[in-house]
Formats: sequence, C-alpha cells, structure tokens
Amino acid sequence: MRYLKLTRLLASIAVLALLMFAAAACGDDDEDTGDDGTEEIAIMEPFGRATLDTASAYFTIKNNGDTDDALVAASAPVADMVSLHEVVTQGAESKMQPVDKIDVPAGGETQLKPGGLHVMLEELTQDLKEGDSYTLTLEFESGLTMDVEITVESYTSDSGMEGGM
Amino acid sequence: MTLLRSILRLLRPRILWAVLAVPALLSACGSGDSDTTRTASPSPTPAGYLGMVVTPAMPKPEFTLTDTSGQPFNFVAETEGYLTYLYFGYTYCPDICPSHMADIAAVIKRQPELNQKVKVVFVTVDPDRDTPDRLRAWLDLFDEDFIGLRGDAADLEAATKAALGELWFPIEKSTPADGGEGYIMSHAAFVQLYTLDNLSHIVYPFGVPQSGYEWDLTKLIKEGWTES
Repeated sequence: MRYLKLTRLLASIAVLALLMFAAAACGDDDEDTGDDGTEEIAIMEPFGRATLDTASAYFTIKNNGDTDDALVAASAPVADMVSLHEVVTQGAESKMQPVDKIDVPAGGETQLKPGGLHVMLEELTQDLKEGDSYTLTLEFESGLTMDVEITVESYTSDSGMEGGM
Repeated sequence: MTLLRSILRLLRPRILWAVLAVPALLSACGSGDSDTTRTASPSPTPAGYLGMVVTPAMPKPEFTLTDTSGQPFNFVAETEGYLTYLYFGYTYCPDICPSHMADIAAVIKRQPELNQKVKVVFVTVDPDRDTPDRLRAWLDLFDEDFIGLRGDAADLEAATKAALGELWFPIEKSTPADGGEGYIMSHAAFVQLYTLDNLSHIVYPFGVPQSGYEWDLTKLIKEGWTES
C-alpha cells in the first residue's frame, strides 16, 4: 500500500518536473524585434558557443515571405568544416545527427537552439573565446545568401543566452 | 526470475519515459518561442528536486579507469563521501556535453565551499581523439578540479554498463558522411548524481536549467537525500 502511494507520488513528481521544463523552455512568446517586413528571411538573436576547436551557432530564422525556404549550408572563415546538426535523444542515449537542411515554412520561423538544431563548426582556424565574434554565411534553398554576426557566449543548458540564477 | 523481474521493471521506470518525454516536450514548444527568458526561480516539485528522480535508484558503479595524469581512478573508492556527478561524453561534442559541464562549474564557482564536498567525473566515450592532454585542456575550460577519465573500449563498455544498468546502450561512432576525418559519438543523455548513500536518485537530462542543478545541490548538501 505504502509502495503504491510512493509510486504514484513519484509519477506525479515526474509529470510536474516535465511540465516545468517545458514551461521553462517555452517561456513567453514575446514578439521579436527585427521584423521589419522588408527582408524575406530574417535572422534573429544569433549567438554562439565554443570550446577548444569546436563551436556551435544558434539563431532563429524567420521567413516573412510566402514561399517555403530552407537553410541548406553554412560556412565561416573561422572554421574549415561547418555542418547542420540536430540532437536526437533516445532512452539514455543522445547523439547528433547531420541534417541536409533546416526547413523554414512561409510565414513561419525555425529556432536553432542548444539541445536541438544547431550549426556545428569544426577545425577552427582561430581560437574563439567568450566575447569574440565571427561571420557566418548562410545559404538558403531559394538561392539567398546572407551573413550573420555570431558572438561567442558561455555554455549553459539554459534555454536563453543568460546564465546563473 | 530476478532477471525477469528486472526486465519487467525496465518497462516502466519513470526515467525511461522521462528522458524520452523531455526532448519531445521541448520540441513540442513549436517554433514560436524565440525568447531568451526563462523562469526566474525554480519552484520545487513535491520531492523538492529539479533533476529527474529515478526509481529505483541506480547503484554507484564499480569501475577503474585512468585519469588525465595517468593514474588509475577507482570510482567507488575515490568518490566515497562526496556528492558525485558522473557523465559520459566527449570533447568534440559542441552542444550538450559542454553545457552540462558549464552549468555544474558555474554552480560550484558561485559556492566555492562546494569544492570540498562535490566531485565531477567526466568519462570520455571518444578515447581515440580525447588524449589525456586534450581531455585535461577541455575540462580546464570549465573547472580545473573536474576529473577526466579514459579507458580502452572494453573498459569503457564495462564502466557504462555498470553506471547505466538496464538503461545501457552501446556507444556508437558515426561514419562521416563527407568521407572526412570528423565523426560523431553517441553519449549519455543525462548526468548522474550520486549521493552519500552511493546511489543515484537523481539524473539531469538536457533541459534542466543551471538553477536546477544549484537548487538540488544546495538542498542535498544541507539535508542529504530525502524521499519527501
């Protein structure tokens, strides 16, 4: 009897915890600035992270146009190899998977963020430390190419750019 | 018979669906959440922890690997009496592995007295590329006291089996699509935290905020592991 109660308690704890994570991850849906309506594709809130010779870049891609588009490639002078990845978790196992493209539907947006989709930079040609910036060139299926300034921030699994309590 | 019962239990441990469900929920948030805000402060679950509570708790694994100075490291003996985080990752991991290390390091940096009570053990799943020097340099980016361990494939398999028990998975190495030298390793989806009773009651899948690590650690230091 006691065991049953405990089991139920633990189950509800797990549910609560999940809801909390989901809430923390979703946050509020503040509209972002940068929606000037003139660009078909807008990149919002770009930031990066870096360790010894490996880095990642994150941003939200907003498609203001009326045709679907997709990010198909990225390159940067600071890295010899740049690829698009997604983190996949199954049971106790996590791994990154290369993706061919990152879809951005017409009128919609797609977020690259820690623990999800990201741009991975390998074989860095220069050290990247917190506060450093570099240019990342993004290529879209539509033929559009654009440069984004990525500033390196400190690592944290928090969903945003800030750390700490 | 005991084995059968274990397998049956495997079918319904909270941790399994929890680990599966967290990323699903996170991605279910949709693409509308481009915010950078997060909840201001954690509110405790009924048990009071923000990590995932595992039931039944996982026993502290018995394994010996080699630390970055080349000395053997007996996990049970060396971590006795310390709150101990254990994580299986690799240094070419650009996203999840450094996030966990950075969050734990930030918490310890804010409360330096924790240094005497907490050990952080990072086992590389990629010993081919993670030489002792590289592993040391990578861990030093976060905290010079973090312990880095290596072993050959057989030692690593034994260590992961001991730590993950029924949740064990074979470490996978991808073949690079571009024919280059880069490859991707699979790694643990969560950090395990062992309390002074030498059990892991709580694990930290990606998505637990830094404040969640801090909340739990502060509580465990103060009260020890309690079930309610």
